[in-house]
Amino acid sequence: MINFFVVTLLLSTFLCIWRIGRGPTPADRTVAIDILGIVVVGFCAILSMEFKQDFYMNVAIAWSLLAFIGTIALAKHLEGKYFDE
Amino acid sequence: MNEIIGCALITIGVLFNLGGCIGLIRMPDIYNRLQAATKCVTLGTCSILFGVFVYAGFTPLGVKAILCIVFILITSPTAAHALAKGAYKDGVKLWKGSVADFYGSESILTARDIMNKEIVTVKCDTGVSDAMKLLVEMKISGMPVVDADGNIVGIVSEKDIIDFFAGGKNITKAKVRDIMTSEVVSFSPETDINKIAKAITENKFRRVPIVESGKPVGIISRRDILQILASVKDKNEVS
Repeated sequence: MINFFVVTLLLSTFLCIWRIGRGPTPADRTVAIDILGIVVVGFCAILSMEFKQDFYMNVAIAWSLLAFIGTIALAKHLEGKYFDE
Repeated sequence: MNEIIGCALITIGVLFNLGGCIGLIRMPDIYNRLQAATKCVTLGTCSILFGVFVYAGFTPLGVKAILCIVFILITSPTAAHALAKGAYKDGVKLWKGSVADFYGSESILTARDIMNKEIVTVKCDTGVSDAMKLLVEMKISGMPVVDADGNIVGIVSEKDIIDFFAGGKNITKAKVRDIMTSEVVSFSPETDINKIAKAITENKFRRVPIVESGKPVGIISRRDILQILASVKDKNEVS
């Protein structure tokens, strides 16, 4: 079962990476990075379940927040504003 | 039992994630990709995390999974919304099959969206009488003047012809070149229409040509701007 989960999520991450590479606009790449972040959170959750190690879950929480901040910063940049505006 | 339910939820979750990422690849423009991927992947990941919670129960792992669900449910839509706005402000065009652009009709409309693309132009060595006939036949009040290569060199309007006539000059022998206004204020198709409206009021123009790499591609008259303002008001009432 774990193999199926890991393979499917890896496939998802590869699709995201393909979109990051392909673009064509900076906004497309940013969306793909955001989605990649969320997929990785799910990935971490499955790893922590499989290995009974809850520090993977800490990684997932930190990653979800960092992905959010990164996406907001890039979105503000696209909008032509600074992060604190 | 918990194990089976957890595994089922995680299976649903990874399939949603995969579907969302396929949407990210297959959808035609940024806004479609954004909505396909964000919704599917948020749901999928929340399903995975909930599956982990069901599997692990009220252990540190399970509680952290619930915490993570809360974070993702708050952050993911916010990020997607900011990103859609950012992409729009960055000038990313909608897919050509899109049917409505309410956000744009309220804030950013460019000259390309409202310009009249079927323009009548006149060569600069045409006789004024022919130009007059053209104006009358096409029921227009002015048109861009182009040289032999199709580059814009001026604009000729009813007013130019009447002024010329009122000056007591012989109108039959004159060429369009002699009467046209050669200092043309023109705009690119990507110009914000607010800027064009401003130029029209400040300079008392009746129309401005829209020019792309020297060649006229459209014309915007006062009437075009009026029409778009009227239609925006309609849309607001509907929505």
